[in-house]
Amino acid sequence: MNDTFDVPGGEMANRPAHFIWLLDCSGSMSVNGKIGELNFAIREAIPEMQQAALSNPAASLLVRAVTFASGANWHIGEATPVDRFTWEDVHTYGATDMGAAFRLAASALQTPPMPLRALPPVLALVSDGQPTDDWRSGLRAIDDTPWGKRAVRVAVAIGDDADKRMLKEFLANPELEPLLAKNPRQLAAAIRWMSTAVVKEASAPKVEDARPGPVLPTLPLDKHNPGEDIW
Amino acid sequence: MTTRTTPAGTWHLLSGAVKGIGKRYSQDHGAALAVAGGRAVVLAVADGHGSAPHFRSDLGARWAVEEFTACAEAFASAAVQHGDDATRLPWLRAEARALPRQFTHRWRQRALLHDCNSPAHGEPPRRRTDGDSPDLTAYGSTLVGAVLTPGLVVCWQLGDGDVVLVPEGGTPGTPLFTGPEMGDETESLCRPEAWRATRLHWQPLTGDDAPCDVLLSTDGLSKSFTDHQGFLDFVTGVRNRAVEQGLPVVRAQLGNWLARAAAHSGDDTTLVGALVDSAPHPHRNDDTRSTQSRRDSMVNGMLAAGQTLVTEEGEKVTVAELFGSGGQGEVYRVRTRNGDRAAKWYYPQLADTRQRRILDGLIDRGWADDRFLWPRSIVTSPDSRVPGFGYLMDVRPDRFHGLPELFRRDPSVSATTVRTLVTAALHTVEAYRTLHSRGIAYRDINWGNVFFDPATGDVLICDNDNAVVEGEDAGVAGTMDFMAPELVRQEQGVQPGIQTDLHSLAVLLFLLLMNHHPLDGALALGIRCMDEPAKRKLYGTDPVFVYDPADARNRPVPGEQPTVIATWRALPKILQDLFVATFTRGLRNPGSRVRESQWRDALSRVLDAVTVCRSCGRQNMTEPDGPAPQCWKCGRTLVLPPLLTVTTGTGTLRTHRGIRLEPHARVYAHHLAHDPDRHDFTAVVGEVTEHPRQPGRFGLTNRTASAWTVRRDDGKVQDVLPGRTVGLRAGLLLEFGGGTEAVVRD
Repeated sequence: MNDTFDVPGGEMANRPAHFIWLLDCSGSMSVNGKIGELNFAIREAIPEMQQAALSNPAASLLVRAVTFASGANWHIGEATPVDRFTWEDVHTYGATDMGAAFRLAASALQTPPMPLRALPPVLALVSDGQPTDDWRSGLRAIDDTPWGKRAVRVAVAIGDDADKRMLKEFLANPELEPLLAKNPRQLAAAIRWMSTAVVKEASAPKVEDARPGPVLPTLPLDKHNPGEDIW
Repeated sequence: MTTRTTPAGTWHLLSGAVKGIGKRYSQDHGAALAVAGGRAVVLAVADGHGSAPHFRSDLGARWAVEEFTACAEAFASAAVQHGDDATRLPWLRAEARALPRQFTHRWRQRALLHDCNSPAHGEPPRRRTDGDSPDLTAYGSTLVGAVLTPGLVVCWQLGDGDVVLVPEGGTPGTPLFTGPEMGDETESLCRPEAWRATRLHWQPLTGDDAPCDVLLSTDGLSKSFTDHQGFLDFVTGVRNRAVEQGLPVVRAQLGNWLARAAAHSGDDTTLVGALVDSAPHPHRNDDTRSTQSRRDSMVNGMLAAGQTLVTEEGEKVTVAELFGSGGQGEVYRVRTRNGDRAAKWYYPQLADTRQRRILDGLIDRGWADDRFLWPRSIVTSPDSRVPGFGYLMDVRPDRFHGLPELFRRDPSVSATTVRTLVTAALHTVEAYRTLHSRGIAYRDINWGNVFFDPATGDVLICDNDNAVVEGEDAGVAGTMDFMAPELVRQEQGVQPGIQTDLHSLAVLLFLLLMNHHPLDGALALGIRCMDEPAKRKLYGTDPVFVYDPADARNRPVPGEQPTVIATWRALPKILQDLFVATFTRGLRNPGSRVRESQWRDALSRVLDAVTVCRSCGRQNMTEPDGPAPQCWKCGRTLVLPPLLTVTTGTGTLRTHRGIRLEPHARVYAHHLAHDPDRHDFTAVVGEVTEHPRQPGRFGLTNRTASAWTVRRDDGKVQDVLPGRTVGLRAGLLLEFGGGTEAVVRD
């Protein structure tokens, strides 16, 4: 019970919402200062991400980041509450081993380390090029985890060289398209959207009124046994 | 750090505030308001003392500003009306002298009421009124205020702070400055007879006198300078920058300047000012801004600072800063000819003809209700540089906080009490009832669009741009957690409307009073990933109320869901019954949902039955006319105070209401109405007060302009004239007139 409040009841129960950045740090990201723009865009988006998280008292947002280049690394390995989240710049270091990043993320989407109960995790992928390793196997590793297959996925393609078909496959939803960022302003807007709208949508879904046309589900629904699919 | 500013015709208003270093929230408050139709200005700053004994001084400071501005506004109107008549000056001066007594009295009343409702020291107030006067140390605050009219400058000061007057072309003056050494002990509103310590500066402006700019600041600013001259230089610097570079530059930079200047004292710092519009000044026009500020002020969003938008009436407005972003767009502060407004700008994919048509309909309706932030005018980018559109609305005042802060039990809303919580629920219900009674459905009631004032329970409903006439098509079906089950299930032919609003409203009320979702019990705990399919089941295909008497599958789990178990236990049966009805039969049958008038009547009755625990001082909801429950905090059985039963109506069907007679309990106009249109807690009819010379003896004071008749049970009949008090005794019958009467019961 909260002693500073003169009303019954403590704070509202909440579930953790995990957010994982998957960031391309390949050599091409250093061309034309793209990596700097990415660092800037994420820093800019942090206050708004904190604000977005505050708007949902039933969720507590935890943020991590993976970088990939030659191999993949946890840039921020500890799931950090968003109000304490700060950004250390990422730097480029070689190829585009996106598959390695997926496998790293998959390891975090098992239970444990995931808690028993949570909101759907968000996987936010940012890339400017073609993967150089076996990304399909990595993506399957994510899909094989209980949390990975329920994750809300978003992707930004930086510039025209990004592999948009591959990014679409990562999204795993025929209705969704990766965002395209061709300049710093678009990149900032895309990062901001991922940090705010997507965070809110994952924890408190809004439903569009599709009348008078047919209602299209935003996620493909399991047709076999919808009752038992909830776990 | 709360300041309020409205536009003025003859003056340009300025306000800025910074929070002290390392402080969680500011104890300062300020206001700069145009009054009397723009022909006068009221300025005020207050500095809550802030140290441990003054732990409620943020409230004290806010009330100081609010009560001062209320009194000063009336004074300013009189001064404008009679300003040209020199023979009226002595009378005005007497009014100016009387003003401190008025606002300190009003401030004390508010602090006493608050202290009575939630005792500062955890004791029932009765025990603390033994001495000479109640101890209001917790609320201690200073107050510096001013009224400016074309012919008059009047300043008041109680405690620390500074008033600086800068005549056009003259040297700055500090008329109420009492020397550099005041020591650490300041005069304060919390002291007895504080009005006696208020200093007054009275300055009529005759034809030859130059009008002057007036700036007020809390002492955090002057304390930061080693000498008085340094402080004066800073203040006149601010004023000169406004003259030379234009107000937008100063408004944009004031926060930074104050932060830098106040860094030395580390104290909260607030500065407000009114600068005389002495056109023609090349840079004093609001539309002029230097290239430097344009370069500095890019905002991170769809619109850029400095960008011009144009309203449908052709007025140009200027984007200032991003307030925040939501699901449909971004909200910006914009400058208009009539002061600051908020502009919501839609994301491009949502700025379609349907949204435009909805907005047109809402704006044409011209809603003038202070409980709603209603769309005022559509805005577009004049050269279509930015595609799409947005709309203008008023800026949400700082006293209103979001419900998520309350649900998280954030310290920013810790002033919330049981009484203000129930009041907020009541106002919310009444606001939506007004909307629905005119055939408008809100369609997306959720925790993000109702804001509340923790000190009063006032509410403000925002994001009204999805509200449409029942049956019309809007873009949003709702937020899943709040949606009626038939909408979640996406049933054929079902669309959002007033009946689905009633479900969303009930969810919101449950969250507000119970701090938990009504359908999240054991079944929710059995779900590991709370994703959309899971919510579809929980809120759509198999919804079960956590306290469904006939279905215990979804009961809250002890240890896992303690909040709802504690809050449900503290909820009176009259409200429990309504929740059960609306979340059992009402889940399946929209026609069985509890209506706003049912919520209103139950919440109103519970509010009248709120009782303070004599042991721990906490407010408790009690069942109207019911037995005494145990205190939710300390567990002791409450002692119910005497009851005033009010009966209204002249016909055979009469309405009965019971008011628990706590010290400072009030009888309001809505108690005397058969079917009140709205609960207005400023319309006080009577008030329980303590006998001025006999502590511990209470009576009901007549706050109306007409006499009451009272009959004692021994047959004695008396009149209670306005302002007089009748002692409370069992069996006393009061006739309020118009067929409304009341009986006191022990």
